[in-house]
Amino acid sequence: MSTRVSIEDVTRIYNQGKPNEVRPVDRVSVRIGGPGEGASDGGDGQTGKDVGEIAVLKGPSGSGKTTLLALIGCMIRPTSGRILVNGRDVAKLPERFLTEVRRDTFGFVFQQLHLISGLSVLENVMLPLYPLEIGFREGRERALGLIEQLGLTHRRRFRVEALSGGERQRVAIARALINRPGAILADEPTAHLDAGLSCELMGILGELRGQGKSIVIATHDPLVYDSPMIDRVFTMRDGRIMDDDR
Amino acid sequence: MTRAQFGKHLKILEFALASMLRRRMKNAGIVVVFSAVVFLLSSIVFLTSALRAEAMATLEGAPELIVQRTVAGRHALIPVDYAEVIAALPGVGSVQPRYWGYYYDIYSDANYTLIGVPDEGPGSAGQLPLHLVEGDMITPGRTEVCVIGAGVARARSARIGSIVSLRNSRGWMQEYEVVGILAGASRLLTNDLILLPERDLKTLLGLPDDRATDLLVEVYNPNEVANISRKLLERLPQARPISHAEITRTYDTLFDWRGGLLLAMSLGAVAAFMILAWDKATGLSAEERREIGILKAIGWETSDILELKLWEGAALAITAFLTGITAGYAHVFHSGAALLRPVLQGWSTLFPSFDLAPRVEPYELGVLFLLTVAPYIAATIVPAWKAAITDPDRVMRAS
Amino acid sequence: MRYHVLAGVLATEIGLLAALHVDATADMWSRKSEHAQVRDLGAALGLTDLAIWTEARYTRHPSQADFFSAFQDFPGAIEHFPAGSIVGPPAHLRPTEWMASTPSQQAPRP
Repeated sequence: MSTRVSIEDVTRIYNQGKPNEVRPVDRVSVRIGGPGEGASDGGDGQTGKDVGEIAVLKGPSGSGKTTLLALIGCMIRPTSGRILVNGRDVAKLPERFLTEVRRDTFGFVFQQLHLISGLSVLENVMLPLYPLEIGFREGRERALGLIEQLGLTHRRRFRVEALSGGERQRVAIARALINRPGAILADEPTAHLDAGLSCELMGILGELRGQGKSIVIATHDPLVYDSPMIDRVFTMRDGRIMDDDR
Repeated sequence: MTRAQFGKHLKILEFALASMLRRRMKNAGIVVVFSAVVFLLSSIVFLTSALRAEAMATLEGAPELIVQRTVAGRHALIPVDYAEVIAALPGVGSVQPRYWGYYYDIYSDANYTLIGVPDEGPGSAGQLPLHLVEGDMITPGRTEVCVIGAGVARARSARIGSIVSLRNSRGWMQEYEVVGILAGASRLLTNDLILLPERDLKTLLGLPDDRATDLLVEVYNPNEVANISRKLLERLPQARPISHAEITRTYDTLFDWRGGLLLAMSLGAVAAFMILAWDKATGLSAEERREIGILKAIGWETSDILELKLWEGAALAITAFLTGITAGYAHVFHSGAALLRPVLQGWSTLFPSFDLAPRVEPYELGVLFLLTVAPYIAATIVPAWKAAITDPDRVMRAS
Repeated sequence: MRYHVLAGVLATEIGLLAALHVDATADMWSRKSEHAQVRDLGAALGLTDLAIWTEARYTRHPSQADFFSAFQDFPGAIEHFPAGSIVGPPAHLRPTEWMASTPSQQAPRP
């Protein structure tokens, strides 16, 4: 099923009490994913079936998009407020459990992609599986399936630094999907792509949405937030959500 | 541990190896340096413990009690009539004066040990097993003959039938015919020996008639040696008894790889290695730090990352340790510690080659392991741990 | 799998070490009688020390060295002969040793 995340009145403060105190996220509440809650839900007539959703966090740099994305993805804990992942409050979970929730629920596509150079495409895609109790062969099959799905089969033995930007992006997406997460979080995924590749990326994300994934994209690229595939847009400024455009 | 859990550790090991192979030159360099340090240390450890074992085995037959005389803190010739006093002590069998001394040979720049062979009693030809003597032993009544150790034979290019000339106490050259050579198998004990008939030796060295080098005391019950020594000292205050137990004890503690020059040298190597390891590990490159962040961000737990680093450190350190130990073992027991020879030999001109019985002390290997592998792994893990406990979101901000 | 390679390397090294040990030990066993002969020769000649370092009395005959030989400067001091690189002071020259030893071993305290 798609993943539902509720952010309730969440604030994140860095360097609290010091002169350089910053609050990249300030009293924000948003809900992402899940049938009956997304705005697009009633519109495409697929109620009852598990439907994905693409939400965009839009705003200028420094508006708190990335921090909010990290909060949604359980990378960091909020200073105050609640975060419910599929109904479970994760804000105060100890690190180990938080990691568990994160890797079972979310797949990340980072702005810098963060592939490990020197390793092959296959090894990079399998990275999240190494510390899990999944057989090597099974993990390999799963990774090869995703690599095929993303059209990288002929590149699977290449080192990632030998790939083009678009191919690297797809490796990063395959890696984000390897744990079969309900939600994909992407931070400025088009930052290093030209228009053609950006469209291709949106196509891939649309497919994933069709498979029932909840997708959250932080971006300030109009190509992304104006795309017809987007279900909801949250505009951020100075750590706050301005309005819910769609 | 279930199979899946076991598989998880194997997978992390697999990843650790894949990760290390990316920096193969650097890691190979560390393995080489690490192996070299272990090789040096293990060579010293193997050599000293083998020498100790060898000494204990060969000196098992050393005399039960020897009595020296010391004057003004120096070893001095002992009056032969001390023998009567000592022989009168209860529990003492025969007391035999021994004549021996050192000789510096200007032709070979070597020091020899000269030993007088008496006509009868302990040390005489009749008492000697002749297996290890090539040629003849000095038989009673013969004069101007000698039996020499393998090292002397080499230094003087002497064979059986050759003449060895030695300068006597009046400055005249005295010639001795080589009748026998002590076999190479005994060289650790006899390398620098020249055995002469006792009378010849006394003349050569100009020993006074009433003095001997020391006295060999036969003791009926070895347990009585300490008692006899005490009584002997009461009667002869200048005497210095040396028991078999003391000789054994000396050699038990003598070879000591923790002392001295070699250690100082190897400490330098160890220190350099530690600095290398520390630098490699603490100076986690920005690249490695970034990778730890990535792993953290994609769902690795801190403990998984520590396990990864543990595997990396252990795989490298154990490979290098085994390589070093194997090379050290081959070096000491198969090539006679050839590389250490120049250091060990020092100023010993007649330095015997070693053909030592293999001996491995698990305790010493354990210490060596703890001294090398453990710090290396620690130096790998600690900084990784520091990098791994940071929040995973840092990686999202890194550019 | 790369860990199979690692296991192979480690097993090879252990095997090599074992082979070296077996070889060296077998060699020694075959010369066991020779060792006994060396011991008997030493006993017959009344030899007290190993003929390794011939440069000084106290390196040639450590067990016979008097109390004023170089090794006693202080135990653990680096000897001025290179032989000191792998030998320590003889037992009877170590303060801790002579304090506990028989009266025969008493020497003036340095």
